[in-house]
Amino acid sequence: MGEIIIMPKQGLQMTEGIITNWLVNEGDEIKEGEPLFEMETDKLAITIDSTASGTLLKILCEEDEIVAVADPIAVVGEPGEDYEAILAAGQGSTAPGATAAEPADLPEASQPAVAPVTEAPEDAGHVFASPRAKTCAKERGIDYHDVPGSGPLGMVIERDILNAQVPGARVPMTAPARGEHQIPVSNMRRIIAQRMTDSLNTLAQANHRLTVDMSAAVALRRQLQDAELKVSYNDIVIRCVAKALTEFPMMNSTMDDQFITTKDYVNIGMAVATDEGLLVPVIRDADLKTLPEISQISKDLATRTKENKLTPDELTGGTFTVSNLGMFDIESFTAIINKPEAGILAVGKMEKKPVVCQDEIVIRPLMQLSLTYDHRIVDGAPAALFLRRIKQLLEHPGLLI
Amino acid sequence: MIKTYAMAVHDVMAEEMRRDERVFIMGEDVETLGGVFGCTRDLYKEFGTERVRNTPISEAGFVGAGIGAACAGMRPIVELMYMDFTFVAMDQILNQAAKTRYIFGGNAKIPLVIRGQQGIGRGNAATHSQSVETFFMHIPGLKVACPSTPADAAGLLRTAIRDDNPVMFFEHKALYAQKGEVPEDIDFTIPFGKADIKREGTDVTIVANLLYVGRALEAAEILSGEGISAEVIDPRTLVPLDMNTITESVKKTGRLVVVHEAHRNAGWGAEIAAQVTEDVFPYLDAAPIRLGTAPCPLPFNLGLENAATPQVADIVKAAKTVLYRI
Repeated sequence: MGEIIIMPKQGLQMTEGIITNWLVNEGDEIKEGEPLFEMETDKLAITIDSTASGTLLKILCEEDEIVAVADPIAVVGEPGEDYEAILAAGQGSTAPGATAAEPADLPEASQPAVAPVTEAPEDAGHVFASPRAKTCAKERGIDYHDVPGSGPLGMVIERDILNAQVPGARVPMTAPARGEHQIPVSNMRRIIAQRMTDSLNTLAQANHRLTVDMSAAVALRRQLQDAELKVSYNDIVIRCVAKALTEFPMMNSTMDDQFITTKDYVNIGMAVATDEGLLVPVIRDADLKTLPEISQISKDLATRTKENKLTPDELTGGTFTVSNLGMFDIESFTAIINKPEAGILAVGKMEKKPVVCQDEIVIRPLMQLSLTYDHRIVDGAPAALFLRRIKQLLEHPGLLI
Repeated sequence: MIKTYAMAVHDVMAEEMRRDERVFIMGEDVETLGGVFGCTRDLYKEFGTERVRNTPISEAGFVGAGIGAACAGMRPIVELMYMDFTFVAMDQILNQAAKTRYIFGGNAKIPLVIRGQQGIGRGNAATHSQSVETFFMHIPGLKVACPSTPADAAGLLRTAIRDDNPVMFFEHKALYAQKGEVPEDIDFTIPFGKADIKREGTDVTIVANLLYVGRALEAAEILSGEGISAEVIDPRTLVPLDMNTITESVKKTGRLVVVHEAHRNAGWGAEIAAQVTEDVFPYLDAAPIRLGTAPCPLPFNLGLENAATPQVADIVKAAKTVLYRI
C-alpha cells in the first residue's frame, strides 16, 4: 500500500515552501516519526518527520524548488512498487481532497499531511456544505468546493467560508446586505488593548529610524549555512541588539517614580503573531548566547507560540523587544513599547536597492530599523547612538566575536 | 408597579370585570378560596358570587357552560385548576369552542378565555405536571397564549379577555411567585402574534416559552462567558405565531435551538424548526435542535422530574452543538 506525502502547511499564512534538504534517499527505508526532510517557509526553517513507514520510492521535488502547499512531494510504499501507479491513483482520488487535507484551523503540527491512497472515500468528489455556507460562499464569489470543511464529516460550514481567502475570488454580482457585527472581546484581545493603551498613555514614546546595509549579514548567514548552521536575519538582529544593550544599560532598564533600574541581564522578547493575537516569548540571556543558540531558541519559541504551548514563564521577564514585519513586505514601522521595557526595535523588510558607494551606484541589500524608546529614560542622542551601534554591528558582524 | 405573575393575572381580571360587566369568572374553588394558586383571591367580595362562581368538579360541564354563556353575549373566564384537565373537556374545546363561529357562518362568536396553570416545579406528578399547549395549536379556531413574565401575563390576558374568539391561556405554576414590573395602565395590552426578543444576540437563536424563557436566558448568560452571543426569543402566543421575528433572527444567526417543557416529540418546537427550515433554509449553518421533555410521563420525584426535562446545561450544550463548538 502506497502513500503520497504532500507539502505540509506550517502556518495559516503559508502557501508554499522550499525543501532545503532531503534527509532520506530514494530507495531507503523510512519509519514513521523519523526526520524526512528540512524545509523553509517565509517565516521559519524546520525539520519535518515522516508519518508513513516503508520505502521512499520517489522524491518528486528537488531541493530548493518552491512547492505549493498540498502538492505531492514524495511517494512511500513497498520496495519495487510502481510509484507512478500510486501517484496516478492518489491524484485521481485525492485531487478534490487535496485542499481538504489542509486543516483550516488545526495547530500547525510539524507533520506532513499524508493522503492515504487506499482509504479514499467513494464519493470523494462530493463536498458537503451547510446551506448557510453555500449562501455565504455565493455572496463572496467563492467556490465552496475549494474550501476545507471543519464541520461534521468535513462539511463546509459558515466559518470555513469566512476564514477562506481564495485568491482571485470573483467580485459578487449583487452586493450582499451589509450590516455590522459585534464580536465579543476575547480575554487576550482585552489584555492587548489595555497594555497598548497603557503604554501609549504613560510613556514618552519617541522614534528614530535608519537604514542598514545588510551585505555583511547576508554573507555571514551564507557562511553559517555552509557550515550547516541555519539562522534567520531576525536571529542576527537579535544577537546584535543583545550586544548593543550590554553597552547601553539605560536602554535595558525600567523606570518607576523613584528609580531607574538597569538590568545586568539581557532578555529579548520576540513578537510573534498568532491567530488569537500578538504574543512576545522571551529569549533569556540573549547576550550570553551564540547566534546558532539564539536561532535554535527562537525557532522553538516561534513554533510553540503558534501551537499555544508556551509556559507563562516564557512570556515574561523581557527587558527589550524586537518586532519584525519584513515577511509582510513592511519597509519600516513604529512599534509600541512593551511595558515596562524602555524600548522596542521594529525591523523592516530586507530589499536589494541601488545605493551610492564611493561615487558609484551599486546594488545592496538594505533594511530599515525603527527604534521606539521611552524619552523619560533615554534622551534622543543616546538613543541615536544605540541605534547606530546596532547598525554598526549588523554591517560589521565580526564585532560580535 | 412591581407585581408577582399571580397578582398580574388577578389584577387584570379584576380591572376587566370593573370595565365590562359581561366579564365573569367560573371554576373550581375560585370563590372564597380564591383559587388554588390565589389568582381570584377576594374577587368575590367586590364582584359577588354571581360573577365569581364556583363550579362542580366537572370540566366538560363548566367549559361547556362557558361556551354557552359566550354564545349568549357574556365574556366568561373559565379557570381550570390544572390545564391537564383540559383533556376532560376536549370535545367542548376542540369541537365546540373552536368551531362554533365557523359553523354558524360568523353569526356566533365565542369570547371565551380558558385559563389556568400547568407545568413542573412542584412534584405534582404525571397528571398534574404536563405542558399541554401544543395540543391546542393543532386545531384551527383557538388562540394560544403562554406568558413568561408578570408584564406579559397582564398584557396578554387583557388582550385575551377583549378578544372575540376563544383563547387558551397557559400560566405556569412555577412562575406565579416571580416578580416584575407591570404597567399600571388599565388598557395595557400586548398584541397576539408578536414575539418578544428577551435578549439580543448574533450567534444562535434560542426560542423558548413559559418557564424555559428564564432558563434560556440563564444559558445565554453562560454562553456569553464563552464568547457566544445568544438571542432569546419568546413567541408569547403560539396561535397566532410570529414566525417573522424568528426567521429574521435565524437569518442573522444561522442557528436555531428550540426549547420547551412540552414533550419534545411532536412538540411545538418541531413546528417552528420545520417552518424555519422551509422558510430560511439557505441561511441555516446547522440543523435546528429541539429540546423538550422526554417521552415519558412526568415523574413525581423531583430529581426524576429534572432528569426528564431540559436543564440549563442542555440548552448551553445544544447552542454549542449548532455552532460546532463541541
